[in-house]
Amino acid sequence: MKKNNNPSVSMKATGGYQNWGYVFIAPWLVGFLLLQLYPLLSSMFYSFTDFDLLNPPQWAGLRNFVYAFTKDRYFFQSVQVTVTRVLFAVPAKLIFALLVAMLLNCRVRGIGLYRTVFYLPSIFGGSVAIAILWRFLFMREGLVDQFLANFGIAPRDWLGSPDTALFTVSLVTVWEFGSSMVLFLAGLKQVPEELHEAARIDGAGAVQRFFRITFPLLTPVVFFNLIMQVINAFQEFTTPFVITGGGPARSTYLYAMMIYENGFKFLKMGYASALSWLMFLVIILLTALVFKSSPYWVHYSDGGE
Amino acid sequence: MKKIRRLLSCLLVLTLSAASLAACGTGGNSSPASDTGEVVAGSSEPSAGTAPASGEKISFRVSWWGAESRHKATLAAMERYMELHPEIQLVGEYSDWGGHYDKLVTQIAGGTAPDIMQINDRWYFDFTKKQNVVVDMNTLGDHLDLELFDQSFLEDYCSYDGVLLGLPLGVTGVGILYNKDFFAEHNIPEDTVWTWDNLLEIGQRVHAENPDHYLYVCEPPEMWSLQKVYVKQRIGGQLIEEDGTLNVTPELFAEAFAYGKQMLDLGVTEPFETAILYTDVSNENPKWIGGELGMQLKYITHFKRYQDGLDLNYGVSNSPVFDGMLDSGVTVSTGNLFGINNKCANVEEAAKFINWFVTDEEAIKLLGEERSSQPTEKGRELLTEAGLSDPLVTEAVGIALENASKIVDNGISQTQEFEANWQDFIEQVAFGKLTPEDAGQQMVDATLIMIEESLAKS
Repeated sequence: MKKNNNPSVSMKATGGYQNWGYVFIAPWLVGFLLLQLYPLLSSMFYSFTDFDLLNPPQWAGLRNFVYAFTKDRYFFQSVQVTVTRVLFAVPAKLIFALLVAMLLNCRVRGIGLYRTVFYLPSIFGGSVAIAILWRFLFMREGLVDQFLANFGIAPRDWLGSPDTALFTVSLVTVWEFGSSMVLFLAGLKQVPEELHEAARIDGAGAVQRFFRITFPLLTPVVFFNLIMQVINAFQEFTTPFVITGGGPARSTYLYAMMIYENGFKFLKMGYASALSWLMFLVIILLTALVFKSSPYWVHYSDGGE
Repeated sequence: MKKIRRLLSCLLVLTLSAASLAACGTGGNSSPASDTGEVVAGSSEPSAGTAPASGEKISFRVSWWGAESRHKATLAAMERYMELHPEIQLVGEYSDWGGHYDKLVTQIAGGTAPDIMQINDRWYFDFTKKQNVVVDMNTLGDHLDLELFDQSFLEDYCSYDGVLLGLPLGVTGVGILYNKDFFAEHNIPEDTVWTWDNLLEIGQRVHAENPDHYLYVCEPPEMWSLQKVYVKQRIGGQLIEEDGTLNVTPELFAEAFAYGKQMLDLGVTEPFETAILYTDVSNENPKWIGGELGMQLKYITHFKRYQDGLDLNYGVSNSPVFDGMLDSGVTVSTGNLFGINNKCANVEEAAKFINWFVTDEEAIKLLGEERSSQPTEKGRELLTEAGLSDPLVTEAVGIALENASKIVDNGISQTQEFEANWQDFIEQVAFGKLTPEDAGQQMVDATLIMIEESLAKS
């Protein structure tokens, strides 16, 4: 209180604090400038050039962008594959994560252990081990087929057929639901018990309570998870790359894989940069749309202030 | 207070400049970027290809890809060289074939490529465009025993536009690797001269005799090797001329795609639905390991993978042929070369090491046939005398050389994009997404676009 009585002292103190602030954020700032901003800007430059990695880039104007839309036979196909994947994997993952979070919200003995176990798959990421595991699970007459045989479902080539490969590969993403689940779990813990109690007294059933109380109060978490998962899903690369490499018949040839192939296999880094920027624009646009839509369906318990 | 602020500002500036300096450092070739399987054999810290100050070691980073046994042999040879030349330090950076090219190109672009790198003849076109990635070995004749090599082999298979990209590490080619027990079980004579017709006939019979058995096995990249032979036999020339003329008609592509489809439909080759899970590693295919698959066309450099740890009885034979073919289509090549990064600071010493690696008796014995047959006559004789050569490899190389294609594929016919497109259309036809005719036409269209783009840039 005393400090505020003397404006000059207060100014000085704030200035000092600000300098300390710079020191504390310096590691991040340096990392951001060199490892994020610089590559970002240079990839924007490359997107307007012919750059084969081995020779200096040559200015090409809009040629790379025109090529993508007019000549590249894989462009629209990979966009379609990517969008299909996002439309399947994101909702499936969120619903699954929410279901598991609700189960793990119960009070039972050893719940901490269960939570850890369910989080485990997320740690594996897109590793080669997962690729091998998936191959074993989903090979013809593999574990999945053996399980399904109990229900009279005939064995099939989950990864080897273009009709099911994308679905099978996307299941890895759904299976790695850990981070979304943890957020949902935290959100569920925030739902005040009094509301449920009041609703119960008024005669509301479990389903009604979920849709009228739990879910509305959870929408900020859904909103956050949705944005993060959409961004991640568009950029997905590693898992499908190590499991199928884009095949069979390019049925899992995701946009990110096309970028990789053009950049590092065909040595068209300029074109790959242009493709990356197109994807960046699409992601920004979608994120903005989700944000714009949020006032209509996201409810903050404090009114969003 | 002011003092402290000034001190802090100074600190901040220092931190920033230190970080930017660190980042600049990677631009040169002084950073020993560590990779999978990096082995430093020796004592002091390596600094790539730096010039020797008095008493200081000259250090080289050497990279290659291959199977486990190749790593061991190469490291042993490097170790021996360092014993003989204590002033030299060699650091090995090795991995499997998967992703090796992508990684190497990224290293080259970032200026952190190894001093000595194993390269593949299919990369020449990209590696010599405008500026050379590797040193022209012709300029290092004083340090190399070039006379030990077959001159036409060096010119045809190791050079591009007169630039000798490296010294060959082997002589290899493609040949059919078959399972002798499988042949015996289905009464297939081992001396069968394979034609495109009897491949289908016998394949069909085998599958009828045992529905779990397939005479042939391939996934899309291997089907591509087979179709390349098919097409080359019919045109008897380059697939794409240097000036960009495409010599393959839509009809011929369609014919090749239809042949592949027939192989799948008649049960001659294992369905792609299951074979595709073992792309590039059909030696891991349980059916191959279990002896349920008969044969496939393979690069001889890959034989080792099919022998290591697998208890199968192998034989080799020539690729399928037909009467009236214009060329055998049998690829012969060096497979791998050791080239010197043109950013290497001590090119002569690097050249001396490579020369030792491929021509010295001790090195030859240590390396054996890890990269197919030895590249020199001397090396081949030496291994035979010492009983170190694998009869299977020797026989396969002999068959390939005897039937070698007269056409040495040029750069533009070997670009990765051309290959990837071809493989994709093979899959599109195999999975019934396109008819062979449509795929043939679209393949030509896609190739023409690729050629146009490629010529526009070079």
